[in-house]
Amino acid sequence: MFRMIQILAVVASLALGIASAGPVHADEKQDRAIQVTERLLAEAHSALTGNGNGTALRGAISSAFAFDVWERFLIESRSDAFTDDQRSNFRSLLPGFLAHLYQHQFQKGLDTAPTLGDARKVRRDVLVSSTFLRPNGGDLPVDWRVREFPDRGAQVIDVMVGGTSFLVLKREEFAAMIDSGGAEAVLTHMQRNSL
Amino acid sequence: MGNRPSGSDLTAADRAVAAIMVMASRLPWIVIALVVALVLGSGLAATRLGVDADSSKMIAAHLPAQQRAQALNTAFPYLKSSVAIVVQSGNADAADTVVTEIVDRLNAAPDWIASVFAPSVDPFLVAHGFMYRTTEEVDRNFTRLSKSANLLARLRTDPTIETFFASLNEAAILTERSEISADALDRLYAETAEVLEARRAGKARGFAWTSVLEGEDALKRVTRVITVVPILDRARLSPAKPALAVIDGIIADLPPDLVRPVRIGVTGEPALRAEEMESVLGTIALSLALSLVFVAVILAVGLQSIGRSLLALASLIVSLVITTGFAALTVGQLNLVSVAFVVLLVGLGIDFAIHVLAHICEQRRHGSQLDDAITLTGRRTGLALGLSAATTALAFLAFAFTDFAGMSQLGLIGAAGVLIAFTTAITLIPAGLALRPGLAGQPGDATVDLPRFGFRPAIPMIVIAVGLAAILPASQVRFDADPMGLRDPEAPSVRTFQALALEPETTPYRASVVTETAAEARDMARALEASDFVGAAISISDLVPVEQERKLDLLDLAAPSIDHAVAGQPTDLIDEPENEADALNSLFERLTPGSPGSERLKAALSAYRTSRTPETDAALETDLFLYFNLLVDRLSGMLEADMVTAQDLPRQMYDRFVSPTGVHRVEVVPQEDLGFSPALERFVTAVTEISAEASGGPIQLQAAADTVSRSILQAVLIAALATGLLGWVATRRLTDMVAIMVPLGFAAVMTAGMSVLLNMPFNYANVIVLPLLIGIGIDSGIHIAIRERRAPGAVFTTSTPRAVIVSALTTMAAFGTLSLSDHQGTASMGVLLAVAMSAAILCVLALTPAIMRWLKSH
Repeated sequence: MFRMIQILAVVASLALGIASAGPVHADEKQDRAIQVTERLLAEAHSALTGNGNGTALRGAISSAFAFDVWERFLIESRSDAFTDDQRSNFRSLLPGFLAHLYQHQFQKGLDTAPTLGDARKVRRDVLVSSTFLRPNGGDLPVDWRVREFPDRGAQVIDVMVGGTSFLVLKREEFAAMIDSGGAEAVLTHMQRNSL
Repeated sequence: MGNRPSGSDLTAADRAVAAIMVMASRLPWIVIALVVALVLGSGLAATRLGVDADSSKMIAAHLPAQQRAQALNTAFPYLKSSVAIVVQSGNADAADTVVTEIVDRLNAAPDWIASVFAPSVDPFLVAHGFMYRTTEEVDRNFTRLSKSANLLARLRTDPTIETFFASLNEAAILTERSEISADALDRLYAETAEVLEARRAGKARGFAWTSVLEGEDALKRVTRVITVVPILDRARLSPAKPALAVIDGIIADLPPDLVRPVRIGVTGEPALRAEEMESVLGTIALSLALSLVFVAVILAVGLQSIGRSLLALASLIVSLVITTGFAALTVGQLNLVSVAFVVLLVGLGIDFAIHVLAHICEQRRHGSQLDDAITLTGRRTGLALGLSAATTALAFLAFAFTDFAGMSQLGLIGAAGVLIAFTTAITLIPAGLALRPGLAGQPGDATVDLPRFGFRPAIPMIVIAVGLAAILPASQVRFDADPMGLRDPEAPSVRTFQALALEPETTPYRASVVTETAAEARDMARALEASDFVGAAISISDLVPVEQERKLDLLDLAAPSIDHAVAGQPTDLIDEPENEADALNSLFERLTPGSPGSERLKAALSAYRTSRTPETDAALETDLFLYFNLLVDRLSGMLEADMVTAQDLPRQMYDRFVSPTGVHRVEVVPQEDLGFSPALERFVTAVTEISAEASGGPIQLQAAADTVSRSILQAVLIAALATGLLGWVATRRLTDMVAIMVPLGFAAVMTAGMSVLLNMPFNYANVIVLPLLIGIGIDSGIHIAIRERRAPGAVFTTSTPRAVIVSALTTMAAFGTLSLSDHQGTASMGVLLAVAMSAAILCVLALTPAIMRWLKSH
């Protein structure tokens, strides 16, 4: 029932735009989270509205996302299904896959840049809210979950729409693929849906 | 009657008893004055006599099992002193809502409530409850929650029936579009159908949000336990009574709508004891009234005079008061067994008075003057009365040295009581008759002879055959050391206790093993769990969740979703939300056959759509959102979860596993239902083989059963040997003692056999039957044997059999009415006592004279 984000992405026509946010800064951690999100949205919007071949978007994603966390949550429960080579392959495919996912979810409605909202702490992470404009004129709130790492600063570890986590949805999708077709099924899926 | 003993036949006992009786009859006022003084003094002393209803004190304190139990109770006092409020429901949310309400109200009543602990609503455990599930379960639940976040947010911000159906329809649409299995919504559909069906049936069922979200069967029966430590009022017979009254009041005052879907019970040692006291006292007035009527009628008929009956009763009451004073001065506090000394004394004490009165009257009927009648009675019954008093006292003293503390107390009091009753009978009755000579009857008074069935060969043979047949069932006789077996099975606290005992998760029958360190406790728990008879073994270490980092990681992952559900604004996830009517129609059309929940909801919606009114909608809305806030509160609390150490656990939980002095306890849960005796033995054997230091309820029960069985066997053997020896020394006739002891043996076998056939095992209450059987069996046997010896072949024409029967009937009438009691122990005491008395009298009358005749002829 709750694969709503996937469905949402299909049915919604979203307008992307560069955020011009004026969020309230609660503390430094939140400030840094906002900065990372703000930069990501700006670079991604620029990449999607420009004429690039996806390299720019992939670059924006690569600089903002904590891929190791994504990797861990996406396939840790099925890690036994992967050989070292497959794991390495997964790792190399992940940035392109996430860039493609971003493009797929948010490439509609690019006339208007997304706007940043406030930031709030949820447990050890910070949720930075943003709003994308839907093709039908409505707002689509999207939250960016940012975690601060001691060695590399703040990075995005999840994207939430309507309270539903991309990580959770993709993890479940991957688990189903692995259970039916093994690790290769996931890798093939990622290759086909990569930017 | 040609049975006047010649001077050479008189024994020293005959002469001594006769001398005392004559002296008492000549100095009646002095006797009365002495008796009054003794009664007053004893009555004063008796006011200090207490009763300790703790069945665990039935066994000698020096035994290792008892010492371990004492150490356990000292280290962990709340294990035994807590009241348990049990809330059961087919709806977890309903149960937890009631538990929350009760806890809040209990916390507002500090006068009688020391502490309250309800794990299912404890803030810490609610927040960290997910950590006690497996990592896989946590993963599944958080995934489900994450997917439901927007739905929950939407219902939270607009808790209306319209939003509910719109959200359900949205979920159905999204599920269709995602091409995932429709089964994903099945639980939600099924619970919605359940609520609709209940409302259509005129019942209210709150939507079980927590169960649905946690992936549990929403219809599964849940049991929640609130542990309450009461403040005791030691001045009361039931010290927990005020606290229990507070608890009962709180439960009674709960809103009817709140408690409708739940069943609430109160149990725990304080509640069980308080209700036990009530059940014992409940029918006591009726029993007492009936007993008085029966005893009065039997005495009046047996002694053929109301005046004589009153005199016999006066002798009995004096004996009771003096014996009570003796008990107060010697033991101070009675226990569950020794408190029955009253039964014992009525049964035995009245004997002496009846025999003395019956014999005096017999002599008067035959023309003797009162002085002569008293003298002759002393000479003819002195040996029988003295010997029966001495042997019975000796039989009781045999119990006084066993490890069965309950019975050893009774043995001491019983022995003293018998001697007191004997002394009272041979002094007070002659004194009374001297003051009221008319009570002794007149020469030529009519009497009714008893049938001479003791000399019809068929009757002894039938009795012997019955006795032999009883050996087989008697071999299965057992002692039920579980105090639960004593209690009224219909008492609320007992029913609640039994309901808990049915489930391994909640059974109160748990053993404990104490260790010095947490590591030892953990290792011990693992060793115990390896046993087939142990369901679980829990140490403090087991209460610290495993794989915490991984679970907290999963929580971190789900936290934004949870945050959205409890605090976020909902998002429209479909482009064109439909109005409520459209949503309901749309949902109806989307419900397809194939999954049970979907089919069920379609049928329920069909019925609902055709009969809905604003009133039914309002009621349905209440049902749908009754427990929604409980879910929101629980989810909010979860966001605060963090790493858990043993020290972080709620104090009431920690204190049950680690004592203030640092002693660690392992709680051992049985695999089987221990209500079944062999299962108890298997469990105790398995646990004690792993740890000889094990303690707790089941261990104590088994130790008590073993100790009691051993003690009774030991006491019975000693009693039989000692009384036999004393009888032989006093009478110098082995044949008499054989004629006395053999019927007693047959009566014991018949009683044990009936105990098995009636499925009425011996317990702390009815075990009193055994010493009483020995006492009355020996007494009656001695009276009949000596009378038969002095009047060969004519015993049934004398007053002795009448006295024996009247005495036994008096005991049966006095205590047979106890079988009306709701208290199982008391009722079984009444039944078994009637059985034992019947068996004793039947065997003595049928066999003693017959054996004497047979031995004489051979």
